[in-house]
Amino acid sequence: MTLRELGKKVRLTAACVAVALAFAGCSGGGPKAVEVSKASDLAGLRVGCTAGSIYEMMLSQRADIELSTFNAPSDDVEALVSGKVDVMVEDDTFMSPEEMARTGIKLAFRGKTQFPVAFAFSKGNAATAPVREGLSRFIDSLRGTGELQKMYDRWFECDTPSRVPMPDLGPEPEGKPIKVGLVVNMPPIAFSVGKDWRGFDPEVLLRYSRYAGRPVDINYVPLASATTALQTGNIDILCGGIFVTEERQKTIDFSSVHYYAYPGFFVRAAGAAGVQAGFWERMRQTVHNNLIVEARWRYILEGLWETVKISLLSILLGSLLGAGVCWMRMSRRRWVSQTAKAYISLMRGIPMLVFLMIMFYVVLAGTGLSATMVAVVAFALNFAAYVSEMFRTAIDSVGKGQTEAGLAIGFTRWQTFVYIVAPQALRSVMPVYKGEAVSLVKNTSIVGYIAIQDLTRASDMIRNRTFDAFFPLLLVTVIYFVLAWLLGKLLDLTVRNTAKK
Amino acid sequence: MITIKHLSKQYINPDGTVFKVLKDVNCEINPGEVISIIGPSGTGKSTFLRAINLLDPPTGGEILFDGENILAKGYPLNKLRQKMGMVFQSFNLFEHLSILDNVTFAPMKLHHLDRRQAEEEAMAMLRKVGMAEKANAMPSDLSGGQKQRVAIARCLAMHPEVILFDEPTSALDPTMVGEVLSVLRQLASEGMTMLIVTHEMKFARDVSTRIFFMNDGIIYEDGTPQQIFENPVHSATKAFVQRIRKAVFEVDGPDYDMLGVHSQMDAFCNKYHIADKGVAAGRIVDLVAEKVMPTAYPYTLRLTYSELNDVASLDVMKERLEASPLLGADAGVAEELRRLCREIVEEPTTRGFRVKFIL
Repeated sequence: MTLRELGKKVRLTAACVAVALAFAGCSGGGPKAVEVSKASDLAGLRVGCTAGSIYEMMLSQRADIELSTFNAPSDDVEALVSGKVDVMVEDDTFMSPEEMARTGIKLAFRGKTQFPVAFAFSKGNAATAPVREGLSRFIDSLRGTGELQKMYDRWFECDTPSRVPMPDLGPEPEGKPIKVGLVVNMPPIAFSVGKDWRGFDPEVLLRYSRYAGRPVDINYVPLASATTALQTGNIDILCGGIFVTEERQKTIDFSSVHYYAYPGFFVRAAGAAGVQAGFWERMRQTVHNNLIVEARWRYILEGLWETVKISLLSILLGSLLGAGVCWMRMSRRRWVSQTAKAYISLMRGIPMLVFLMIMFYVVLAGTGLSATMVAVVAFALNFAAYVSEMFRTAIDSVGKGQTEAGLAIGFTRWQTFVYIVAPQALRSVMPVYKGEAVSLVKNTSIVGYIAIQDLTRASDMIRNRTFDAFFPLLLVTVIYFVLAWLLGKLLDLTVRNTAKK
Repeated sequence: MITIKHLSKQYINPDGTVFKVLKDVNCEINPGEVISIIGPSGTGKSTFLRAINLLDPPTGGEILFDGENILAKGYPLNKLRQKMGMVFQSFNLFEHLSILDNVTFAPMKLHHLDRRQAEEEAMAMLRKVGMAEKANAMPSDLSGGQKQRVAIARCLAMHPEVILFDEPTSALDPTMVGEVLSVLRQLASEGMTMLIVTHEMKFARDVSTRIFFMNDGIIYEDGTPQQIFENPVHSATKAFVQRIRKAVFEVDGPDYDMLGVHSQMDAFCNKYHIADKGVAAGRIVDLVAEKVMPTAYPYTLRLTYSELNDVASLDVMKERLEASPLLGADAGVAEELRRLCREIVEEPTTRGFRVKFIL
């Protein structure tokens, strides 16, 4: 081990320990707080921001800082709290005072650059152009009457935006919904409570919905797949603090600007982690915060149901398809078996995440299938390729003599297969098949990329709100483990029952 | 019962050449006949048998079963095979089923017997082959001979009109051949129609009512065992049935592989079911090596066996020797050698001298 590797290892361990200690809340004063008051103070510090954000572009120009980028703002917060970075750069309004107090973070200073924020639409899309124009007019008129400023003040100039109620806007209009993708889930911009969305952006949208007489369907979309979703028409509007920049205007049409943001430079507040409570009390707080508040356990329950649904349907459909592919692969007709072979190697060669995105945004984009069904189809197609080869080897492993004996005693080819070859093949395929099924369950954790709120996404949603990395992750880990174990038991049981028949 | 006309089967090799396994097979098989099919390896015996129930469909000719052409399109093959049992060289018991289930499986599925009835009958069949006590074992628990007996019981449970035996003892350890052959003998005596591809000449001669000698893709000679074994018409038949099995060992010094010679001689005797003679041969070899010719290296040992006459002999041959080595042997040793065999023939040959112990 070189010195450098050793250093890395030590740092990694230290980071892990820090995370654990941060969770436990007994970090002995926590990582050292840093004081900054202007951009030049960042020199020599570790700075974090969200990947792909405007701040990344801004900060990557500076050679005198150590920049880390994270997938989501919540990871960024986690990094700051645990001491992996010293300064976090996000929108100044990104965290409400109540969240900052809870996590022990403070806004050190605001940057001077002003960023206009607006709703984003697919460039040159004739279908959504009327919505964009309507929304722009609506925003302009709200600004004209001063209503927009009042709304802004209500959400942003408030210490506890998570407790700000949504105004009663009357019943939702009927009709074809406008599909909205939100890239954040955090007060005050936008956050979900159960099935409802609250915050500044949702309020603008819901008000517009009443104005235009069309319902809006709001869903969380991870930033990584947001622009694809917009361009392929899976969503009509993208929002959640999207900055209007010259570069983006080349590929995106924006509505009128509805507010302005400034870069906020956040640091750990000195002595923030001083609140010492007993272990059980801390545990109770963690559970309360992650599951009870805003009925967040519903995310877990709904996510679990989604994961179970996708897994079981994919396994069922995939096994049937796999049997079909296996049959094709074993066909004596050359072109049939070659087709199956090509299919298998194709499916094996594409990363599952890429395949899922292609299916959702390209292949099945126009079919009107729900995201869940697309995921089922994609996973089933992938599963089929793998299990078909398992089935084939299992069938081949049953000696030719067994088939001959079956035929010679007077069974038809089909009876011979069903009565004699299949039961023996089933027995030998089971261990590998079980492994593949379990690995499918675990792989479904990527469906969040096509805006399905599965179990993993549920933990993300909770983490986005609570900035608690440890508990939600640990919880879903345990749930996945139990799920995999139950699935194994279920398969064993099924096989035992089939064997009896 | 079965009439076969101009049956042929050819394969096309990967290089495009045509290989004819069966050229033109014609025969008539009547109920109650026990037919052994013998002949050199690679002459299409097994292919012929497997062509009859269409496991290896022929490429030409006709097979009539009870007057109907079974090669005709749409002929219910599975029904035919229910009447035509088959026993394989490699047993092919259903590995996932117990012994009892192996026997009851097909009658229950195909003859729709209820379980009680099927099991009763299966137990009767298993008793017949001496396997009733293993009814609840799994195939993997049995020896080869036991597996083959179960396979025969499985076949009998379908009440076939004829049974095809494809080298039923070839995959067996020599010690287990007997138990299977005795089941076959019993079936033959009960009047079952049987076609048996076999290398057991003695069995073929004793049990069959008829012998097919197959050679070069045709039935070369067809006749009673007496005719085939004692008065063959064709020279090829004669050469085959009268062929003599032999094993030769060189003893070229005091350090020759004594154990190797013994074990190979034992294997040879087991193969032809003359294990008792193998014991005597082993003793003779030891006596010769230690007492008769302790320094007379090199010399040659030759073990021969004629299946037709059931005669085995051990020859001791030494080059450039004019008188029998036994002449100088101790009287007690000579006496013991005489007791170990039926006859001792001492004769000079063109190159030396040979002592033949007829076992």
